[in-house]
Amino acid sequence: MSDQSSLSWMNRISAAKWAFSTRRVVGEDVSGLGEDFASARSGDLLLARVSTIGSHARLQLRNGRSSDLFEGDLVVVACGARYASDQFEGIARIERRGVDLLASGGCVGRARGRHGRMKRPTRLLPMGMLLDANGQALNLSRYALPLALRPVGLGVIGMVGASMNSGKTSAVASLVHGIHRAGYRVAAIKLTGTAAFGDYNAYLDAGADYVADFTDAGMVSTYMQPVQRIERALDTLLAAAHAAGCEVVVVELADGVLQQETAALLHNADFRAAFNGFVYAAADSLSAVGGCKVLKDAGIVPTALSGLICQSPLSVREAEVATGLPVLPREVLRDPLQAGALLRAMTGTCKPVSAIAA
Amino acid sequence: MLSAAKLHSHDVPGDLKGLSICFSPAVKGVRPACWIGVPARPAGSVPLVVVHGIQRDARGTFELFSGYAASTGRVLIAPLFDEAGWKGYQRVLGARRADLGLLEILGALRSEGVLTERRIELFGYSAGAQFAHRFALMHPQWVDSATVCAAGWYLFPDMMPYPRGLGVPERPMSGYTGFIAANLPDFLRLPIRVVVGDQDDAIDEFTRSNEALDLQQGRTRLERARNWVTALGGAAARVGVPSAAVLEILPDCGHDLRQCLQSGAMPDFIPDVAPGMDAGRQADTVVSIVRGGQYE
Repeated sequence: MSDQSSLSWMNRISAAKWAFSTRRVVGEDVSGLGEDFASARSGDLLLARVSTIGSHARLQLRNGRSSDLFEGDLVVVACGARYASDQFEGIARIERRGVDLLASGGCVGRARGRHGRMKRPTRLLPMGMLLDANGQALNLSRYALPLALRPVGLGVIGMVGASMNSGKTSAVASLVHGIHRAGYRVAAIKLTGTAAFGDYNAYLDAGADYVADFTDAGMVSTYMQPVQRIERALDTLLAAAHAAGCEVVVVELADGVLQQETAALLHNADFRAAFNGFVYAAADSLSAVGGCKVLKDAGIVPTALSGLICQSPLSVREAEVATGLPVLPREVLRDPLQAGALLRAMTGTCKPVSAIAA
Repeated sequence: MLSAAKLHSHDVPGDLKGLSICFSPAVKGVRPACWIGVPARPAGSVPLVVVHGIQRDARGTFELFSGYAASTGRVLIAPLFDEAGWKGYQRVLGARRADLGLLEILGALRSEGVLTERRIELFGYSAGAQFAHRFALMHPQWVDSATVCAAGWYLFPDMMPYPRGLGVPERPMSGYTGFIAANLPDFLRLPIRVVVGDQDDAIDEFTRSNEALDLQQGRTRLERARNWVTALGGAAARVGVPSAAVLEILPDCGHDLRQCLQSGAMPDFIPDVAPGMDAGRQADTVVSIVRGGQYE
């Protein structure tokens, strides 16, 4: 590579907008660009130029803010799949003629389906795969936290839901806030999904002492990733939360309980054993009932329900009668008394109420 | 930030040498006013929170404990749950959440670096004792130990309606959750001293009484204290934790905070009757004269 061309790609890299998905990448590791797009796999880093603005008109940057996108912008993003029932389904594939921006956090691939309300995805023209000094593709997995064993002694609460946009993240943030106000050091972990800073920042804003997601375990997206890899990621992120001094961790699983990786994880006894209890977020009473049945099939009885259903008192009443479970709105989850008591109800330090009542 | 009006030592009766005293006005609906004493040489012990009775004499209660706090190097906090803002504070839950009010005070003091310990020691007298034990049940993680002195009645570890028990209140009550029963094991592990005078057996105008309450708890403060400690022991056995609650009957003592303290309501308590103070004054019968952040 000539000095002239070397300067050229270095200038492009430094001028590019680095997406949130690349936040752990060390820029100095980039030693060149490659054009073997066909070999790209999930997590590989790509320099690309914005060719057409579509549904995602902004890119979430690694510094935590969003940047408007303009045609001609250079971006550094990661190749990955996406599963988002309200947006796109896409696979981890880079094609020389163009790639789709599947998520504003910086996940690109080939869209193969979209929600009826979504415009076509923003298109990018690949400029080159980021390579290290040995000519190897730089992948997010290189920057993952070291694998660690699942720690003992943590209180771990799982948040699962009926679907995307059922109110999981809002419920997690509220619960994190309540547990924080109850005096505990609390971590929030987004275990599955596609890299984005919305949830990450919501957890921080709620008062989480430690926040992490699957990107910290080396993945841009968990869709189509081996379940064992996601399970190892859980253990690693829990260990990181423990090392950060946290006593309680709230773990959010993206999408709904029918999503393939989520369903596989929930049916895995070793995975479930990491959790002291689950809260299930639903948008309406029927999805509350249906979700509870799905969870029951996986051996899970949630301790409480939450989510968008809380907007409708009638739906709350229906769900409470049909499931026998309390439906807890955000205000309740934010209450240190209620959050602390819910935590204790899950961590099993007490016998059932019937044993208490003489 | 906690707005605290620092007071000159000559404003305060009694030997408070070594205790810097502030009064923090209330933030309406959020945080009660409180008296705060900070020792010049903190001993690193957990702060002591003292909660007044139904006469709401936070100042008098604070004064009674100030010498003790100064000599032991402990931060002393006396919240003022005034009638206008915190009616029913002894029940903790309800329209105004007295537990959140105290947590607001503690949070503000932590953010200012006055408190470094997560836990507190709670002392409550009469209605303040009701507050103290209910707060400890709601938030056991915040409590290092508690002294429940001459409570009129108690939250029993059964499923009677809150605030008599852990069950669903007869009327909707803000903050109540069916999950509070889950706090019981941690609550039962707390060192709780239940103290009551041996002569605190009169049924006066302040003694709440009805058939259901009397049947559950007994008729007098003395009887109810005994029954409550017995009930805590039974609950501890049922949930499989050691009971850390003890009952101490104070000799020659009626329903009087000063008498209780002089009779051993607080171990190692140093009676600190301030010069000029009426030694016979019942601290809990003096109406607070705190106005506008000034100690009058």
